[in-house]
Amino acid sequence: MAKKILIVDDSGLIRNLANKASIEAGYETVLAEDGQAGLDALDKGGIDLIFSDVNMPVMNGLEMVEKVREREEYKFIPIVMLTTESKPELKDRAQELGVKAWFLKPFNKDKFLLVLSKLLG
Amino acid sequence: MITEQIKEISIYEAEKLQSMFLKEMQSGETFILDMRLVEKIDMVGIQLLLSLSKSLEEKEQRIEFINVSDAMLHEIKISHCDVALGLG
Amino acid sequence: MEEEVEIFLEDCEDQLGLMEGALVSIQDSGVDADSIGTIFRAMHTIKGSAGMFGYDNIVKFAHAGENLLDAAREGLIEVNEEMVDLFLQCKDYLEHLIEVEIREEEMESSQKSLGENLVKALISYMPGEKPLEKSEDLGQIKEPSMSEEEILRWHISIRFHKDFFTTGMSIHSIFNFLNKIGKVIINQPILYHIPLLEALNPLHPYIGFEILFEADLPYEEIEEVFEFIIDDVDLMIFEHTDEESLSQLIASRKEDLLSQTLLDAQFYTEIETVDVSEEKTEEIKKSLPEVNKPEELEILENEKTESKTVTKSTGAPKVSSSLRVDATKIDLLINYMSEIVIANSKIITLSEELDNSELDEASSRMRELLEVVREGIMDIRMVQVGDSFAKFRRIVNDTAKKIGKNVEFIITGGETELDKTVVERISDPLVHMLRNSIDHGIEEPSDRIKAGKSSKGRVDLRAYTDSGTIVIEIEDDGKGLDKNRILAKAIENGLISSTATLSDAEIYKLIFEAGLSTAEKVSDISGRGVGMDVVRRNIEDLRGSIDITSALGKGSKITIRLPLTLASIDGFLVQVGHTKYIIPLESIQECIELTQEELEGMKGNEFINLRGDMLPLMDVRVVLNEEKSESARKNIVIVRFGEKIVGLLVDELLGEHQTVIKPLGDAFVNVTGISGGSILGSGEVALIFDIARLIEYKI
Repeated sequence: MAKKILIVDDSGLIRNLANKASIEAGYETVLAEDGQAGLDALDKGGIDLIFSDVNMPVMNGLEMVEKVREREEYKFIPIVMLTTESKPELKDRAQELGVKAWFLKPFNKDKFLLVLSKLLG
Repeated sequence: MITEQIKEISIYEAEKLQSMFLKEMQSGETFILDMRLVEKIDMVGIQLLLSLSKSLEEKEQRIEFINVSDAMLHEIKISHCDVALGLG
Repeated sequence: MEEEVEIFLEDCEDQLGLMEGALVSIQDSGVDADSIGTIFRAMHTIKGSAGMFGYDNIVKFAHAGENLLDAAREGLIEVNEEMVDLFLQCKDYLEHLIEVEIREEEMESSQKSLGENLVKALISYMPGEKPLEKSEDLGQIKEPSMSEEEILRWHISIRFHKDFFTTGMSIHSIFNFLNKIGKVIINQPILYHIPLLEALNPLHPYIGFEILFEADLPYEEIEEVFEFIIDDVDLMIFEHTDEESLSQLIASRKEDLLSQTLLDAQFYTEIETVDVSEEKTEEIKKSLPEVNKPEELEILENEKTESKTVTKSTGAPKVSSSLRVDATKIDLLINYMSEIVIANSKIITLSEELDNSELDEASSRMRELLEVVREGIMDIRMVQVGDSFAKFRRIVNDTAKKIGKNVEFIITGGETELDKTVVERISDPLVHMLRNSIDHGIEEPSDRIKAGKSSKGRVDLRAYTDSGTIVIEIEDDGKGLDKNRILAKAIENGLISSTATLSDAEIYKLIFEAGLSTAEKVSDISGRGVGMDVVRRNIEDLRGSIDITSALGKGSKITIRLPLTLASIDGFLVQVGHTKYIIPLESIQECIELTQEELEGMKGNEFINLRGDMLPLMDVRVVLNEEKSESARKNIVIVRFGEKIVGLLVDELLGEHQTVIKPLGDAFVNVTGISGGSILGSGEVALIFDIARLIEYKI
């Protein structure tokens, strides 16, 4: 069964890039344009990895991660942040929440796929 | 024999499974785990099975897996724990 | 180039610029913590983003630089002049390296060895390092021994920290990944720590793995496989043949059954058991090849320390939020803008014809708003010249050093804003002129002392705005231009006839002619006689002008005047004959209406008396072969460019006109004094005067 990745980013460009790369690599994807939409998408179930931006309207990435961790069925889901933010306090908070990777934009496709590969096998 | 239907042997179910296994161990029968419905197994699950297996050995009992799907066997084999679980 | 790579490159350029600025400032005014911090951060940023793009060579090189800079920042080492030179070289090399990597080319072997030497040199300055001469085996330390053809086998030992499972990371994925990049020969789960079910905390990891992994990869790449879990595991990676590391592993794991397990799993046929005391174990643990944290996490840590230093220092870091925009997008916007302006002109014309005051008002308001928007767009293109000027500092220092001159270089007006395109295109000519000033202008220190000057020469680079143009001056306090020698040389080269009588200014201007170099000694800095004419042409292409004044023994001053932007001008519309012309507003001093009397009084005279001064006149109709118009009125538009003033004789004054310059195509290339065209609201074409050339033509 193909692994399913939730991609959360308010930038359509990033969503598209990540989506295309993931699908090419044989993963399934669910796209969301902000934290709230990301949470809603989780309801559909079966998500194996979350790739999320930090700065987004409606609900930002870290708020979303916090809410994700509150949910029993996603307590242990791997989460990767993709962002231009590099404030240490944000990163500290993210690490507390068990965010494992912090990527600075822009990302390149090869690196992205490598990450998926390491995280999802 | 475990009668409940187990769908996943993973971090999300580990605690529940642990108490279920402990209870089952009391029966003293051969421990048979029906893997027919299992769709997901992870390292936490495998470690749990290894611990179970060890506990049974202590009591000179053993675990028997039935209906292990290829996919699940593959998952277990990646970490090379199949041998220790008698699946090798 | 892919967009991301382009952004990466731009970022690197910015960082290299910052680095250079700081290095030059150290050269000029000594070592200060801020500059070292700046260089460190620039190096660090380049390393970080190169890592993100997988440019490992850049990462490795920048890492070496960053280490030394970090040591300097921490005050562990003192930065001396040699090190500043080294950093400058490293900056240059890094620039080259980035280019090569982006183009995915192979580095020339000479450059490669330069890079290696630079890294060695960087390491040699590290605290506790032996001086460079004695450490010859540095290269070997970096490269794992891959001498033989056989594929490397690695021993990977993993134990998990307590929280490993709850982070959601999957060790299965890592195993899968290992199999993608190499071959897992043996994977032996370590089970002896797993407790009985009653005692088990299912979320705690007790299991471990000993892996024999075959892959022709360097240590770093094996390590990188674990980049996302490295914080949550206890990892050791070493070559299978490395017995010492094996002993260390066994000693530090403190697992009684480990040796036997490894033997049983056929990792090794025998393991020499080393008796290690508790104390020694600790020692060994420390000396174990430290498993570095992967890129992202390393950044995390460094930034933490960085932010600490920032808060410590009193000077708050500059906060400026900026946006990178592709220049062509702005060009496109300007183009649309010009279309809108033209379309609106048409509306204005129509509203006048219809005599509809409401429409008139609306379209006027529209014009005002368009003006605001246009200025806003133009403003996006404007950049401060200072950033570009700062780069010259290095060139000046290098040039002076190379030819043994002592030069103080002073920049003023760096905050002056200029169109980015103009800044870019003016850069090379300025470099050339600066080199000229140092090479030909400034005397040898001994000569300067003889001439009663201080041994240190001075070169000024100034920028300021003056009536809608930007003025850039390069002034030196050197020996000045020798009129007679220029004249002799010009006659010798057939540039002028031996009988010509020229003013001083005209003589000085000869140095901008092709094939005239007054340097007696040709150096590799300047003096081949090519260049100054190219400089002049470049500046004229920018609708600018160049002038030079000089005093023998005292110095020279080159003055360049440039329009603030190339894309549009505020013009004044006039009519001559049947054609409409636009005079750039910035060059207009005043307009005078000529009375019939005055006109008759002129009688072909080419001057009029303007408040006591003689004002040279230029009849546009004659110069541009326009037909005589019926209009009895004549107007004079007094234009100025630099120091020169001329009155342009035109028929009608039609008023201000804001216009976007459209290139005119080849047919007009040789028309003196016309720089472009513009389309008026009525659809008519108007020609735009190039005042600089027009004045030159007249004089």
